[in-house]
Amino acid sequence: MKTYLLSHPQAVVNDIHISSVDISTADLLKEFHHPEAGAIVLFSGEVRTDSGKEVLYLDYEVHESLAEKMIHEILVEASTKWNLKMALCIHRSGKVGVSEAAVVVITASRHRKEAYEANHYIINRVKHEAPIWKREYFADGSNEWGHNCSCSTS
Amino acid sequence: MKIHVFAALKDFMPSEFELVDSSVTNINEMKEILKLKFPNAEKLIDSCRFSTEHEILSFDQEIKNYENIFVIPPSSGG
Repeated sequence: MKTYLLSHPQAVVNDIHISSVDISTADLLKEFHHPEAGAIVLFSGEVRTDSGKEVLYLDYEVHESLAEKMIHEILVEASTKWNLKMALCIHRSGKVGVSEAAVVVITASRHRKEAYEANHYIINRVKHEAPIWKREYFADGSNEWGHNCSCSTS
Repeated sequence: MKIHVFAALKDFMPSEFELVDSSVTNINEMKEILKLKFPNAEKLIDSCRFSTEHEILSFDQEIKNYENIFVIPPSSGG
């Protein structure tokens, strides 16, 4: 089981945001608890098979040093804004198969409203801003770079 | 200085290359030079951000002391 370091003075924010290996949502959720948090929200963005053509897998390219810093800043900002007890975001690099997690966001707060809102905010900003790109590989042998993020409401 | 590019930009240019042009002093000028060198990527370059290893750079940022500049197309993570 992978260990995710957790440390931040205001809220507990994870330190490593890009992973080249599988993300286990079950392991994360098992670890991710806080005695003052009554609500834990987990979002798992997973690879789906239909994208106009049948998708076999995605391959994520990352400007890693910048992505690490930007995601961390987004988590810290969200933690302050919603008074989170814990916040975590991990995004995959490399090859990710259908039904595997490409990105996971977990938020913990005293009540559910803050955890839901912060989680939505974090994933939207990560998708829009973090320097991460997906290349889609299709069953017909073709591949293409993913379309630009247009996820403001989704 | 060394230029590093990502994702769809690599369909038009090498993933990293040296830019030797003493007239380039800021990101805006670099952007124009890249568009001249790689005209097929002009539209994509116009939508890009630029960064160092850890910071997004503004378009008027002076870059003469930077060793590495990263050209960042619109994100498609998640």
